[in-house]
Amino acid sequence: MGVAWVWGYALLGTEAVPVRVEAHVRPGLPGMTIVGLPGVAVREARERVRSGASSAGMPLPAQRMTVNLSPADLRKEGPGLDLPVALALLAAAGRLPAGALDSIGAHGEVALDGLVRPVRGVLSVAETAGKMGVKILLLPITALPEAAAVGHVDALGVRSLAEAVAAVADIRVRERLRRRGRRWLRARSTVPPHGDVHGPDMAEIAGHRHAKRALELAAAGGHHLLLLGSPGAGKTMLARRVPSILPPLTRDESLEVTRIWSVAGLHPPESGLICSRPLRAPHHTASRSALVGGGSLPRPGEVSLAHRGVLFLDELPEFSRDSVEALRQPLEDGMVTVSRRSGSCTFQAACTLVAAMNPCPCGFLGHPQRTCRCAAEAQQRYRQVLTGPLGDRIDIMVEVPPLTALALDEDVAGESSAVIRTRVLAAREFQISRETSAGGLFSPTNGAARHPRLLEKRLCMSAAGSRLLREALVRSALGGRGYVRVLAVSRTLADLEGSAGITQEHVAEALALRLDVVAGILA
Amino acid sequence: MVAPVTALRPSCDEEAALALSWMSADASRGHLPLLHEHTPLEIWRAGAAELRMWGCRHDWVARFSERRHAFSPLEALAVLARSRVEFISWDSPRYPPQLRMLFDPPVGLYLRGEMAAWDTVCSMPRVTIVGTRTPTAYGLAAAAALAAAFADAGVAVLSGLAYGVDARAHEIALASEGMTVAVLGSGPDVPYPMRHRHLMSRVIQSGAVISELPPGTKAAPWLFPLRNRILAALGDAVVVVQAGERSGANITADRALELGREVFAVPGSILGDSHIGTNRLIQQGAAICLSPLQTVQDFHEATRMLTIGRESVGRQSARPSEPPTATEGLVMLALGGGPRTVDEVSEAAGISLGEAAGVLAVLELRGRARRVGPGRFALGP
Repeated sequence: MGVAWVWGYALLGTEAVPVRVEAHVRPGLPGMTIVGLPGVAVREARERVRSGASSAGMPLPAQRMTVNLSPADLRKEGPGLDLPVALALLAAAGRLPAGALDSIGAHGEVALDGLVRPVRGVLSVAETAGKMGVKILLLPITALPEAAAVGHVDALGVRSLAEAVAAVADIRVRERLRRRGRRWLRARSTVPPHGDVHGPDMAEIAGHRHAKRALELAAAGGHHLLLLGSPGAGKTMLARRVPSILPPLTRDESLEVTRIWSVAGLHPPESGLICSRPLRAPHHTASRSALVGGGSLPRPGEVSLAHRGVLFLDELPEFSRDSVEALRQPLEDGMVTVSRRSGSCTFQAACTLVAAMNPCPCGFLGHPQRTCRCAAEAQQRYRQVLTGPLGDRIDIMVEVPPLTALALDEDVAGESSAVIRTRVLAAREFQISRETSAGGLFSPTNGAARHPRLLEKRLCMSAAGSRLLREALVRSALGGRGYVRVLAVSRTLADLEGSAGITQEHVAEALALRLDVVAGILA
Repeated sequence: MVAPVTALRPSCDEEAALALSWMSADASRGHLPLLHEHTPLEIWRAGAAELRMWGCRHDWVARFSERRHAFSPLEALAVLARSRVEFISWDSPRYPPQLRMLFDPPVGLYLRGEMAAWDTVCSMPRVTIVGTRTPTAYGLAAAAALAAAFADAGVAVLSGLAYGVDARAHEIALASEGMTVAVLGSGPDVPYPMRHRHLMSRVIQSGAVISELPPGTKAAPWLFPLRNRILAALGDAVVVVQAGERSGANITADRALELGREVFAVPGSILGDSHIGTNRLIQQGAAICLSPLQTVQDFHEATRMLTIGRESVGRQSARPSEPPTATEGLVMLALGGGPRTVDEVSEAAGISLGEAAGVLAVLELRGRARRVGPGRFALGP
């Protein structure tokens, strides 16, 4: 009879914030009140916990019960607080020995029949619990694989509220549950080893060697890329295979990706860490907050779900101007800050943008067999998206010509993704060694204004290459930003070849990938 | 109010011409056929009864008489000075006599550009190159090749500054340092379409922009057929590059035929209807464009009588360019057989993919190759 408390967790962005769940049981009119800025789902915990507890054979006392969630000024959402609320109430009602809840954390939804169900954000919760040094973290057993990725926390998987209560009360039960958890994990360790690539392979694409090379370049240098071509030319097919040529995720990257996906509720916790690079392809009707994240308690958007992977925007000009504008910050900084009344959250969003568009609204401008029926104004309007802030952030623009029968008949299989990925990895390694020897990692496009000559010297530009770049500046619409982008792409080309300096050929090929410059499509 | 206005009324043919042409901005065009019989001043001073006797319609006479009173030459001259537009009146020696052959000749022309350039245009052979605003890649390429061939041969290239074939013809004539004139369906100071304002100022710099409409007149659909009659009359021949079923280029061709001008048509695909206008012209007896050079020769042949005494100016200088490198030569050779993708070029020229893409970019930058569609390249500017 009296007061008890236990640690629960509330999600704020991708962070789990520790919440002290306090319960007080006293004589009075029977009823339960939850205070401390509970969201709707948390307020409804009242009914779930009451039913769950009686199903577990430990009905809550017919007394006055108050639950407080501290810090009281942080809005709490989601059913993950069910389990700590139930434990705190049962302890306050005297169902648990005194002090049993000391340094214990819990996270899970309580079902009406007393079972404990998985909820989102398990990885973040486990990380926070580990940092705080709780003795035991009680989780639904299906969430164990995800929590197991965090080494320094004793996560205990429970199936029901009754098991949770028993585990808290009795060390022997804890031991039994721990053994069961290990067995359970072993039985489900079907997680593919790191770097195993599933999904479509580059070898399946006939022809399009030029476009494939551009994709390889984008993968090697982390450049954002635009594919331009008529409907049916193969843009989507190419874009879907970009993740397969990106280097495998490192363990840290895996953790980052899993954290975001778990918080978004898109990753079932029983499948453990995410090990392959994500590809997100939002439809062009996606709203601004769907793309960059939002909601009154901010949730990650598509650009964050594509973190460390590929964000594929098909039919780029069809996206609303508003949502495209919003992509500017994440594409530049690799993270996005969503500010709402309840506070602001920063989500990681280091993705490679792959955009695709037709040459004109009908798609047949310049097609060898078909006629374009678009008005000239409509064509201009269609391409306007490229003159905006997004166009400035796309390093590589490559045209995908419609396939000829000849290329379709080509029976030579293209290179497989694995072969391309070996080159991409080599280029990245070369880049890192080159930049470490030149004094620290350095990106020419990170916005830091530098004198062109210093920049070129730093990137080892040859005299002939520099001359060609200057000729392009004079003869075309290549502006200051375009100049830096061409410089960056030509550096990646040199890295792919393992060449210390940027030659004239590298600059020429980089120029070929700036359609806005050479083809004057923005003129 | 009445007295000073009367004092400023047009008192000579030139002012009367300006006054009459100032009114052609709206539908008041009934007086134009009268020019064949009467001087502008006579028309301006004619009473309502007289105008009716000359065969003008009643409603038009009423409107004309009413509007005539509101005109002030001083104001008009001020507008001209402000917008830096020259007026070439009906009786000016600079008025191209070819326009007089029209049933409804413009009573004057508004000109932007150097008067010297206009004099040059008047003294050289001229070809009108027109076509659809939505050409195929082939149409654009043909427009470019023809404009370049004519410009190189010292023939002035006239067109209408519209999207597609028109703009291409102007651009290539400018790039080949030839003479080019844009005839507008709006005031000479009103760029239409707006997107071509830079092209227009380039045409003004090295050639001329003309219109029969006073400065400030906005473009309107019914003005374009009228513009086309000037294009037809001013050119010694008309080349229709590509026309669909309902292209304005067909109107230009019709007016040119009425005037007895030679009409050339570029043959096009018989699949789809994007070339049906030009193909039908050929069916009806228009001269066929066999090749750019052949067309220039045929043009000279057909217009010999028209252009006697006028000189071909010839292109002064080729643009400075370095000779192509060996690899560039290989790539250009590979492009010789028609449009190619980067993949195809790299295979045909036996060079790496990256090299092919790079060389194509450099060729494009220097005007030796161009893009004809997504990822496909062809020779030429």
